[in-house]
Amino acid sequence: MANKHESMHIDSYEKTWIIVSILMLIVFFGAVTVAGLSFGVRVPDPVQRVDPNDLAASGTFAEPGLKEVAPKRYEAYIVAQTWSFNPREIEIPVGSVVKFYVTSKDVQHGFKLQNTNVNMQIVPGQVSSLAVKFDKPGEYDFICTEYCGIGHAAMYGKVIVVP
Amino acid sequence: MSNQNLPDNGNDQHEHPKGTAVIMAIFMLIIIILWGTVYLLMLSRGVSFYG
Repeated sequence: MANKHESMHIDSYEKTWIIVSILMLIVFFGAVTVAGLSFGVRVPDPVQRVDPNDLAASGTFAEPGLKEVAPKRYEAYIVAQTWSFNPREIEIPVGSVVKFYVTSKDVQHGFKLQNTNVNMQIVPGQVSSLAVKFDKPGEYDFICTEYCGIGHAAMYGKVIVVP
Repeated sequence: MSNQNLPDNGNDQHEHPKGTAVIMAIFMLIIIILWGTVYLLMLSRGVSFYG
């Protein structure tokens, strides 16, 4: 009969791999914690429920567009539908903080704002929200990242940041 | 007669697979570089939440 030590033997390579795997979990956990707590990077949040068949009744989405809530602070209410965003263009001054509220009228869409951390799934009946500060002037395209039909490739818009 | 068909009794000393270890090390290095680059890019793009 094999003694206890022989039956518990773990190869040195296996042991190394177990340690590396545990270290990787610690590093990933630390990276997510640091990004979330120290750098304010968040995942999109479903902030509100709306009736996709009656967005006019929701109040905020009755007239989609940009609303200034304070100097250089804006809220952008955007409706996604096959195959366009409403509004398609937003213009703001450089240094502005814009909080995006996006919902869908029909099917699932995506909302990715190029060169920023804003990337959300847009689900009918749900309002997704993320914010971004625009420190550099230029044009920031936003695109649908969820295949939503034959016109999906043409579903885009842009944020124009003027000096 | 070749002994390749004899059953392995588990007591043989096998060499460590050094080639596989090197491939794994290269793979991990590439993953660390790519993952780290994307992570730093994400941090450089800044805050996505303002209360």
